[in-house]
Amino acid sequence: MAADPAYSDLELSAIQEIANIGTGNAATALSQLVMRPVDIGVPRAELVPLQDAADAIGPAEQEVMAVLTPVRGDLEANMLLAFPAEAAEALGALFGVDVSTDMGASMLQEVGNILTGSYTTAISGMTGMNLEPSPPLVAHDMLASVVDGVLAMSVVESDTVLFLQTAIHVEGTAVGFAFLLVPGEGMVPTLLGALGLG
Amino acid sequence: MTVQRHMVRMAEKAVSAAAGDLLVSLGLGSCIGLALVDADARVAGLVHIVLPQAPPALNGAPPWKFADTAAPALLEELVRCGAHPDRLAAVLAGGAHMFGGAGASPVMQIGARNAESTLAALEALGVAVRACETGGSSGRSIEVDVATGDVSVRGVGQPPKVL
Repeated sequence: MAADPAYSDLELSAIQEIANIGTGNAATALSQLVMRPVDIGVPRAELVPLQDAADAIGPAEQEVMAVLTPVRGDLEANMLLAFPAEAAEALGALFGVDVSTDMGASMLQEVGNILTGSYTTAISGMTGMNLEPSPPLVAHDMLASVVDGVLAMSVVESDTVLFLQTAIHVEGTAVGFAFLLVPGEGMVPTLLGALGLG
Repeated sequence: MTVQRHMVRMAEKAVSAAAGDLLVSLGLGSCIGLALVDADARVAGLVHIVLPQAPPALNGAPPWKFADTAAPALLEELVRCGAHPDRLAAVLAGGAHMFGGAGASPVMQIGARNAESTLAALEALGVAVRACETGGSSGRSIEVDVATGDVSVRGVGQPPKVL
């Protein structure tokens, strides 16, 4: 059985710095898309026991619109945007679409594309790695269900999961959401290696 | 009788013989909530399964995360609490496919594999399946009432279904 991941403080802060830069890039792209200023919270890099995974993001039964963008290439990760229902509606309003329609789902996929694309572009720029975001997938459900759907793809044997999480808010709107990167197996060592910390 | 809700989170389990206890898993996606109930002995258990199969060696890790190891381990605990294996009835909830539609890779079909593996483990143990609310693309919550043996399952924005 694979050992649970354990990282030194230096490694965690390197990972956090990557999250900082990736999120900053993603927020800039979002800001251009919605033509409004975007606030980003302090990105958190934390090792979370599987049991606490859903609670680390929000209330288990909170209704969310979630966008999952798998990232493949030189490393594997899953990027999740989780919009509380009212935030998703507010985002739809910015684009003049109803989020509960097919058009709304396409809008969410596009937002997932743009945020994940700019995040991975930043990581590629720093590390020289080739990263390919897959087409985003949308789900409208309970937060915990969405999170376990993602974890089942990311966590194979370990009982701890690394969350790189940032809160994003579009100023002057009710659009606030969690932006979460869940590394797939082997991602962190690969990333640290590319940064010369492996 | 005081009602006490016991949260069963990912890779956790709860077993109880106390009337008034509710065993609850919220927001099961591709995970499976497996409830085993002996309504006569008023003993029930709930486990929150994450993956279909344990690696070849658990090396002392808890069995609850994997369908093939969680089902027999839960049965064993229930018997220790006074349940009779022949009276146990199983209810499964979860095993949904949360993201994307057809054409998803087998890795993405983890919900269906979780359900299959849980059912296979129950069959091997000879445990009757009372209800199986699995599959689809929506999350579910499950609640087990230890006193009555009732198991209720509900999806987002839906009324609970008592099984």
